[in-house]
Amino acid sequence: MIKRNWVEYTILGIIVFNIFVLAYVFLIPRAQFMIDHWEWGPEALMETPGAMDTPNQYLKTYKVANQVRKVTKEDSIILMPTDNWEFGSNRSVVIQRLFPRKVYFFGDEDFYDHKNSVGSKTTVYAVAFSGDGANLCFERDIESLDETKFVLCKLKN
Amino acid sequence: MMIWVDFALLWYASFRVCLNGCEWAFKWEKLALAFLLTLSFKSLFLFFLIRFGIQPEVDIQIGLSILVFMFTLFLTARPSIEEESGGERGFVWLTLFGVGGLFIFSMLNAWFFPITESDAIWYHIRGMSFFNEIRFDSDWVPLQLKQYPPFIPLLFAYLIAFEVGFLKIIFPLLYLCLNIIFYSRVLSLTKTKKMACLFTMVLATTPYFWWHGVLPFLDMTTAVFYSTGILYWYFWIKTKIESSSLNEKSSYALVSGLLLGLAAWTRIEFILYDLVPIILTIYIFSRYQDKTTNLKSLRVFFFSLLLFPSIWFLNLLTLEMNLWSQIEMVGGVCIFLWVLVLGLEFRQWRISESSVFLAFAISVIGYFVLLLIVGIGPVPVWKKIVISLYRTSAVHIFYLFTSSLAIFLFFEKLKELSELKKILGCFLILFLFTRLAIFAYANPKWPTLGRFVYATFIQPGNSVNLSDTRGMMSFYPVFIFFISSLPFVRQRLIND
Repeated sequence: MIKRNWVEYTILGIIVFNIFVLAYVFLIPRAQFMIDHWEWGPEALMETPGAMDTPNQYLKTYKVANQVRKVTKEDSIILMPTDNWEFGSNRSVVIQRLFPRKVYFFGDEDFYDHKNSVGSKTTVYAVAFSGDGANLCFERDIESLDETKFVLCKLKN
Repeated sequence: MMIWVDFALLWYASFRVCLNGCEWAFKWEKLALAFLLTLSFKSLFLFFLIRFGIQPEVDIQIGLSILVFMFTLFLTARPSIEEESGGERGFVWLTLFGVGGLFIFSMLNAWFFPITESDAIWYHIRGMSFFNEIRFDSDWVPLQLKQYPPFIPLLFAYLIAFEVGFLKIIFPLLYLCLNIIFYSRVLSLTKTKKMACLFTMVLATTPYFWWHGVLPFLDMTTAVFYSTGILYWYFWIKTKIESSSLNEKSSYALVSGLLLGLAAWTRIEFILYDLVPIILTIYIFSRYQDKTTNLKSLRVFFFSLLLFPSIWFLNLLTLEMNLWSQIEMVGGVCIFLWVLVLGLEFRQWRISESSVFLAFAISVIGYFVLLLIVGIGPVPVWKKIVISLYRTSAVHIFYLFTSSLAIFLFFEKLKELSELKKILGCFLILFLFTRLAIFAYANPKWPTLGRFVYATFIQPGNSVNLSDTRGMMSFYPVFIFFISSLPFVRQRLIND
């Protein structure tokens, strides 16, 4: 017969309660999420709300960035609308997904310097949405970026 | 595939270094320690390659790893300490199963979830920039983030170089290393597997720790480096007080100094937290000063601690950018520590016990003067102190049931504790005060206390991931270790 005293019971209790919280808040919801999205690739996962404990704040930005990534080459330049979109854009996400493409945001101090000083062999794209104030794709051929309400246009070949 | 070859070479080389120098460690502990050393060697190689404008291509990295591997083949292996076989097998299996299960699930998470967490996205960008642009001051990264130490982005650059897709893999491995080292140190201290298993399970199941084992932030990394550094520092101090062999002292000092320095190589403010063990070390060396006192281990400790953060500060000075004022302040602390260590080394300074107390009192007064002069901002100083006091106390609710281990303190005769344990207790108190001081100096995220109370109890999601909540992760492993060392707890767990 194993004799235990209150100190041991307290420590075992701490472990049991810790495991309970761990399972309830982290392990079970994460396992559930993984089962539900098991065959999804990393790109698709970036566009989901994410695990319950770390909700993905940037899923809409990821949708835009992933679409731009799909249709542009790595050596191109992307001009983005100002870094304050309706759903709270995040420039880090855009840079993360589009790297090594060079990305410049409308409203930045040196935006026009970059726009005008582009080498002849570089393809320049602009991303726009209705009412973004930059009018980068005004009167140009535009390509809709899936369901994101953003459009892409080629400024220079 | 090539990354396995590269990492295995470097890991085995680090393991041989541990086999040669850390005879006081268990074999599995050496494997965990070798893993941490591998990451630090790797980050250092990558740092210098990038610093000299060389892209860290796969063949260059493997070449360097082979070179290190060959060099370590000449090191002789010394025997490890052995654990006693038998006894408490149920606890051992339960711990293996529990920690192993949590580790495997966290690996699965690291493989499955891409990096989408706010700060981590910047570390990812920095990693890509280090590898592709071969520079530390990329135009894509905000000024403040450029000045953060490079450890995690360098490791990301390592994985990117070898085209490994899941960059979060480092973090579950760090979680595992922390648990292995913690188990080994408790076992080494208490000599009972039951205690080592129970307290390791407390640490491993603390939800906040497991959670950060799958999140790509800096906090799990600093927690691993800082807390393991402190555990080895404790054993170093123990050897000093118990007058053990010089070799043992030096290797403990080296490992502990390196780990504490690596914490600052990950998050620069840890050089301020490093002041706590530094002050206590100087105090102990002044208290146990005699003719036979050998300062070799003290020298080793200081040099190894200052190596990594100093490299980063020197690098920052070479970059064309305005340094953030808080980085300048921490850099000033680093310079002060170099003056201290060079004074001890070349001027043979002998610091008396009373002068340690005097220096401590002056630095506390100096801090308040600094707070009143420099700390003037949108939030009044008194309010900053109150907010910081609140945060230092309230933050523990996020560590849930683990923080309730503190109840054992009320049953312990604290005055009768050995001097060593009192020093560890002092460390914990001073750590909390240092934290209080740091966050009283920095501008709080919200201007009123009410907002913090709201964010703690009504919307904890806003508070759970603040940097000060995460920073407390470095405290808890040492706190649990301290509780495991209490005679009251030991008697109840062993003599039942």
